[in-house]
Amino acid sequence: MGGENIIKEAYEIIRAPYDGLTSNPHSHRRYFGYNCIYVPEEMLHAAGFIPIRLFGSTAGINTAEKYIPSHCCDFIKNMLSAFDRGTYGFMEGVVFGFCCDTMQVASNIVMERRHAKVLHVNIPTKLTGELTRRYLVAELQRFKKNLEDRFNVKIDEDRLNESLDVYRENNRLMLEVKAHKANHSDSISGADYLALLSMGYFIPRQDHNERLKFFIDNPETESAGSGKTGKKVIVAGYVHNNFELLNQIEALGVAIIDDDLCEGSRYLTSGAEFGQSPVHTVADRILSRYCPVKQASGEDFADVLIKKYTEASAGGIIIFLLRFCDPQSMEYAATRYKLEAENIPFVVIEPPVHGGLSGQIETRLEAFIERI
Amino acid sequence: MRNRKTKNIKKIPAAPLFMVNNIFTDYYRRLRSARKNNQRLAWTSIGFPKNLLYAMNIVPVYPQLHVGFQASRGLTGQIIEHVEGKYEIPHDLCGEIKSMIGTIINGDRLSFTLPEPHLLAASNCACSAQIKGFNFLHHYLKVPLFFSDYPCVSRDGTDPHVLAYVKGQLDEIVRSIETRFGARFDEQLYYRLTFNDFKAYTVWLEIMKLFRNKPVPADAIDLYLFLVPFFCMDSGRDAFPDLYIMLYNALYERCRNQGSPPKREIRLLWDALPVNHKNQFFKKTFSRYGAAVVMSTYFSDSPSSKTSRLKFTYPLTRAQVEDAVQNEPFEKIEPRINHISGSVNHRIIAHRKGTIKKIIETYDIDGVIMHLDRSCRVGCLPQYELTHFVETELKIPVLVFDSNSMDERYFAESQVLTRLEAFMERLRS
Repeated sequence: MGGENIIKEAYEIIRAPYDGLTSNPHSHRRYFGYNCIYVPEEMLHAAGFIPIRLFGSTAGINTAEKYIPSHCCDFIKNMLSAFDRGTYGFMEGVVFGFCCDTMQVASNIVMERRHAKVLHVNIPTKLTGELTRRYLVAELQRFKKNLEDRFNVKIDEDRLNESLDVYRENNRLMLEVKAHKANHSDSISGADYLALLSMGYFIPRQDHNERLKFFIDNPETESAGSGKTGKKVIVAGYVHNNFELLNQIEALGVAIIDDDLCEGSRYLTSGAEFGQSPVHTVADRILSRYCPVKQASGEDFADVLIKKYTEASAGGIIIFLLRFCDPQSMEYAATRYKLEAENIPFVVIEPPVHGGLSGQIETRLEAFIERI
Repeated sequence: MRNRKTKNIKKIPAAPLFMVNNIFTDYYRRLRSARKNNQRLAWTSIGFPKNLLYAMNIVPVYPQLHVGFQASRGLTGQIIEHVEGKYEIPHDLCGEIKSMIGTIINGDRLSFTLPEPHLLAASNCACSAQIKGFNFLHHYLKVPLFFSDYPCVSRDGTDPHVLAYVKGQLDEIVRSIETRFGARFDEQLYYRLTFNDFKAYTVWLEIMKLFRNKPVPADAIDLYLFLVPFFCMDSGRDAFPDLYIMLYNALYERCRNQGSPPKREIRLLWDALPVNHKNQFFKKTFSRYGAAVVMSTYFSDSPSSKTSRLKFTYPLTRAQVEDAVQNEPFEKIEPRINHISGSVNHRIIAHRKGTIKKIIETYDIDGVIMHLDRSCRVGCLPQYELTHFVETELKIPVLVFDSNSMDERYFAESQVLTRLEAFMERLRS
């Protein structure tokens, strides 16, 4: 099996991430759902669970509007619909980080309707400062105790340190793949890289590490051909875990050189850890991630995009703006203001929930690529 | 039914209404003269403790309240349309924030101007959209933004680390403003203002009790106006708490003189914000059926909505109020702490269910109106869940209708009217 087969497996997993788990011969393993990059996945891992990310399901009829009004984002609707249809039935529990107001409401609905055993971890909106860190450490300790009490598990320091090692290794390997991609953009496409990263949300992290190591040793794939025009773009936002869409964009002749996707590089940490205790380290890892829903002093969505755009010498930015997402849409208003001031070409499109690029979006993207 | 003569709308008595209007006029006058008087101005989001700023001689300006007034005059639709076009902000986002941005970027072409700020102070106490709105202003106006983060209250009671986090941030903000602007935080003034607020809150709770009366003394939709001073007014001024004392006495007088209750009064609970530009329409429609809004979930969840232990005698005087609150420990009323648990939107759905249940029982509610406000996502997304609870567990009819508190472009009067009429008929039968 070469690197190409790993990529193929990644696409298979992310196409139907939860189906595989119910029919898995190892289903005696304990699965635990989590909703967002800010949830302390390492703690779930240390408790003996396999953390599985909740992306919802776009298959079948969406039943979320039984519980929530229509002016709610598709991310949440897909997730509620999956809960309603029992897609997450194999999970022992789920944990919600309150990444935004809508997520907070959704988690409450899941709890009230008893769709799952729900835990919360109240992630601060502000990502910087000693007060934030102190608060987050206390909140993580509260969450840890809650997890131990409700699910009859024990998370000691040694176990948590071991889990942290697994996740540090995972981060290191992903950065290595990313560096490889930057140097050999003809050997792995942007969409393939993102599929490789995203696969890790649905399989045990150790297994993901093994696959990444194998890929690094055997990086040959057939995805070359993307970026035939020599033009490079950054993609940002959220794409419903639909990497076929990204493949179609690259098929238009442009290479996705870097990303700021919710399913993608936002998950990676900067590696800044300041020790004291394993819980402090978990807090540091969380605070080093940036999502435009949050507030970080001295850094906002536009700054993140401009930095990536400059570092990658990209030609433009494609922003996937999720409809009904208050914080991202409001942040976009300020971002647009800055990007225009910097003369950075960008285009905003609404990510389709089902299927790939529609004719209209394709035309817009073609015009955009022409422009850059 | 539509041709039937409208019965008298139960208006708020004239004297307190006149007083609150004077207070606002005075407030706007002060805003305009603040710069001339070398006072600093802070544009502030809903939920940011005003007294911290007043205690540093900084005048807080609440653009969200300002645009609320604009909306009640039906002026925000055009402003929002302009912002949506210019900054590609989707139509489905909070109208309050969009109007706020529009008020600034339009200058005085579409709305009257607010004095420009020296700083911005915002919190996510009410929702996170307002933080992003203020972030936009921070970029646009190029003035410093001070932001305090309020974690969601996911259980009953607030954890000590949450309190420490919020209090620590606000203390940090005060220190930063002192350093950056050469301001001085007057602790004595802060205490005095906080106590004045508490006096007003105490009377407010007594006013709420008057709405248990049958017949109800006034349509409670008008009370939203009387909530506004709590957010923005300088409570060191004489009108605070006198405004609420006057309102209490006027409503008490009405309760006393109203005589026996009518055969059938339809008592409604209103959830979420009012439709600012259509208050009159709702009051008229309700009054045609002998119905009135007797309570709102917003009033009940105002920051100090604890059960009052105070006993007043009519007429209520300032001396009585002062006597009643003098022994209250400061920590209990400290806004840096109270605001955490104050916001409806920052509480879990179970808390909102508990609030609605309590109101329905205490105020003898016949029906619940859920305003599914497209301008307030966080407030309205739980409404299907709340509706399910009220209908199945409390067995009270609910009407959910779609509208927008800020944007008059999204109000279909005939559709809403038909649904209201059907609902009223159902309640009357």
